[in-house]
Amino acid sequence: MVSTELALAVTVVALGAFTVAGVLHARGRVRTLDDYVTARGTTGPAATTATLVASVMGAWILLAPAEAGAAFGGLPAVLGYALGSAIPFLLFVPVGLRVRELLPEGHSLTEFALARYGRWMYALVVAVSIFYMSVFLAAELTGVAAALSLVAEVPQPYTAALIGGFVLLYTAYGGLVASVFTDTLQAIVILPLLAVSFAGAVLALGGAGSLHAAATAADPTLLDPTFGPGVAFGVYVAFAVLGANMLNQGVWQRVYAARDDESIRRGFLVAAVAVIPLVSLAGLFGIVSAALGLTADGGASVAFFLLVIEAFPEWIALSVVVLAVLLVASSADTMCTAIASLVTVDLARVVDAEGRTLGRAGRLLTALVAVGAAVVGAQGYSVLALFLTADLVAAAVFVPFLAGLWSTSLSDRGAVAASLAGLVVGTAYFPQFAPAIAALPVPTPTPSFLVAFAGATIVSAAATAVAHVVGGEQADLGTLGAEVRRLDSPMTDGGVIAEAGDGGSDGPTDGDAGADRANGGEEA
Amino acid sequence: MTPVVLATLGPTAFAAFVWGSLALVAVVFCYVAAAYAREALGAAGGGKRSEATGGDGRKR
Repeated sequence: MVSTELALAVTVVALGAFTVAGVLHARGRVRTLDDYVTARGTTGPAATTATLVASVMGAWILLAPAEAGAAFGGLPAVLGYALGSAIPFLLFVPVGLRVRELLPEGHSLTEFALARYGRWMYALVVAVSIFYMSVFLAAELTGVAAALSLVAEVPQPYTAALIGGFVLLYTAYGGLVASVFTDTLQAIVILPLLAVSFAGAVLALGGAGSLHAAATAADPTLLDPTFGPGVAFGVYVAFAVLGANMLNQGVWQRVYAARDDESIRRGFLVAAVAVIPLVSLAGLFGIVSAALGLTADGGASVAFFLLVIEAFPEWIALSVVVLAVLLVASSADTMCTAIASLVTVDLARVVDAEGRTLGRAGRLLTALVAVGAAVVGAQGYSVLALFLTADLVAAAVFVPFLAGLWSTSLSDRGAVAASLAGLVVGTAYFPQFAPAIAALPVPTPTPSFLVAFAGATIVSAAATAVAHVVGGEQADLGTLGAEVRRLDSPMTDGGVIAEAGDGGSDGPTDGDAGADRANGGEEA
Repeated sequence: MTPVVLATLGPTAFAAFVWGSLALVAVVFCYVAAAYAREALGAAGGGKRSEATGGDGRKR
């Protein structure tokens, strides 16, 4: 057991170091609102990989894959989770390139929804995306608060407040510029910490041979790659993760933050390769925990941390504490800036406010998001049901949403109808909704996560195909970019304005309304 | 009912899975660290963003 004081001290030092780094890096680099929400064209392939890995790999990889391995089907469940986590990155290569081609000056997925479809699909995408990201953020803080409480008896409100507070400091100050930079540093720390933690754990438990012997002796299905329930879990979690990530504004922001097309290709491909071993190793410890009987009393969701307490020397346990905190911080800053950017970009479209006002609104929203998530995270709620619900909605919406990148005949109503069709099927089979469905005066299907997630995706995809064929609309994809403008209003980051070419924006590009709003009186 | 076990991963394959995954994480770390260092050094030497392209690779 790690002492509470030591865990708190290490947490504060780690978060403080990254906060200082983020603030110093952002100083002078955030000259416009566009820099604040997109950090446009600033990350090469390596930085793109690093920020993707750090953003998407939250504390959930210490919780969910281990729970999958321990309680949802052993090895195939873990492998499904690992592959499912990689697929969105692979899909983002063509999607990201297409998005940058159609909307080179864009900022968000909601902009695309409005420009391509119209207000109905826009409203649906805004609701689903913000819901998913808010749940993600709250789940991260809840998970790390529970983990630190288990490992070092840190009171849950302390953990949530510390992480929420420090993340708020540098994201409100430097927006995506600070988030991407700290992500890169965090990835460079997280990857070896993960490797050292996992390698240390394997050795502490007697090596791979001992783990294998323990698993096969306890339950041979744990290491059976064809075990039915595990395969089913692996398939439906892949659908769930895919849909959720395709509607993750944090990833869309990084599409625009990438320096060029090559950065997108290599950055996303390497990130896809990276997450497979990370999730696999994390899941392995759930299998080992189950094999050692540590999860027999229902502690599958904290299987990894049960193993930490049971078998690790204090230095490994402490490194896991740092790891968990950094994993959460790197994801929390992404979600804070992503949610704030969605609202800020949309606010710029509907409110004729000057750049400084929009900038303040962005920072205020970042603060509200961080404070709200910290409050929820401190409560110790179970957010699994919310997480699955958010994933289900995303699974039903992402195919019609992305189809608009290529289809010219899919209409606003067609895309919404296809999404709703998938949602109806997913809801009907969703186990969380089974009690409510059973109360309806209609025949009720057998609840199944597999059918719910796969059904939501496949039915919405089929309905999208039908809507594409019968749709009468002829959207001009080539003119979508004209509907989106840069947010070139000046904005202070509280530091000094950078010299020309020093990571700032390119200045007004086309004399649009954003440039017109520039107040010109920005303080340094 | 006892579940049917069709194919359990053998000890050698299991060890390869564990250590191979760790090795892959190490390779990714080395790639990211080395490439990022190159990018950072390049940015320090030649300016962080291209004035000609505006930093997004597209000529104005």
